[in-house]
Amino acid sequence: MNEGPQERFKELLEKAEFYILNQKYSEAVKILKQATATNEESPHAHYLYGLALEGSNEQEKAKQHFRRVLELDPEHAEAKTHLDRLIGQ
Amino acid sequence: MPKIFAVIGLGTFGSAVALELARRGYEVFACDRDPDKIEELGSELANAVELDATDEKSLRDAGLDEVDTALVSFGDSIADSLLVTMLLKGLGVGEVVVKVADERHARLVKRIGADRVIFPERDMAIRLVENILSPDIFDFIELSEEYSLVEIAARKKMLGRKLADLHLRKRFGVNVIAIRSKVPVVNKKGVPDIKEKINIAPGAEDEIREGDTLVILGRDQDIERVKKL
Repeated sequence: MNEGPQERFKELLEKAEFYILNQKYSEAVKILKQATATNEESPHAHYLYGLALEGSNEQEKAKQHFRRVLELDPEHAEAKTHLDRLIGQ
Repeated sequence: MPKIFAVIGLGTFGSAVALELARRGYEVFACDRDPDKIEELGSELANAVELDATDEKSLRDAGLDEVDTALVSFGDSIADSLLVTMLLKGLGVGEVVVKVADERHARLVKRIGADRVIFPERDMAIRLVENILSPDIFDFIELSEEYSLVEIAARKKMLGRKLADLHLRKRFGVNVIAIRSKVPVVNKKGVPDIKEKINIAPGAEDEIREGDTLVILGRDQDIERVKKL
């Protein structure tokens, strides 16, 4: 059965959320790398990527993804909170 | 390759940062437009130069595009601080840290791409209050010439192992006095998020997990060995 790219993307995000919620941040990072390569313009995918990187103590890379979320969706409250905290405010 | 630093603005804070980096053996490019400050620090800093950092050409000619991390530390002019931050980001400096004077200044520099904003006076005031009210945990506290308290990210080889199995006290002579964890949660909107949880005086059976930060007390040289794990 052939999956459409949309379904595949959705599946990747669900998988990434599963790993994040089980504190397997580096596993989530691998999945989100694929997800954002499939769809670079999804704020949610970049938000999850930022979270997974922050969880893996990769603060600098996490910031880049939270910034990307805010470029795509300037009202994204969670990304703003995380970015502010990482920048130090 | 070791990191190269730049400190722009050599007031009390900027010069202290530059001198400390130099003391630790890093290459530091320090500049200020006031020749008296350069003269003052010239004997202690190899690369201290008089420079107008608001001029892009001067920054480029001085080699600022080679710098990994730059601190912008202007005490009096928010406009200059904003301009220099923007120029440094434009030159491709990886990390630009900006010392700010107030919340408005902080908001503005963040908007133009500062990677980190520091507010030393406010932060010190908060630390002082926390310290007065309850002994708290900091990134680094020098307890004496020999002993320190530091926070370090859990090393990869520690993950999934119990604290007791790491034998940190036996192998390195250090004590883990707290573990800060990044715990996943689902927020009110149903979106995954991460909250920080502190486990003070962790037990031998506590497991080290991804994202954990260990608060370690020990001799400086032993802490350095743990950092290299």
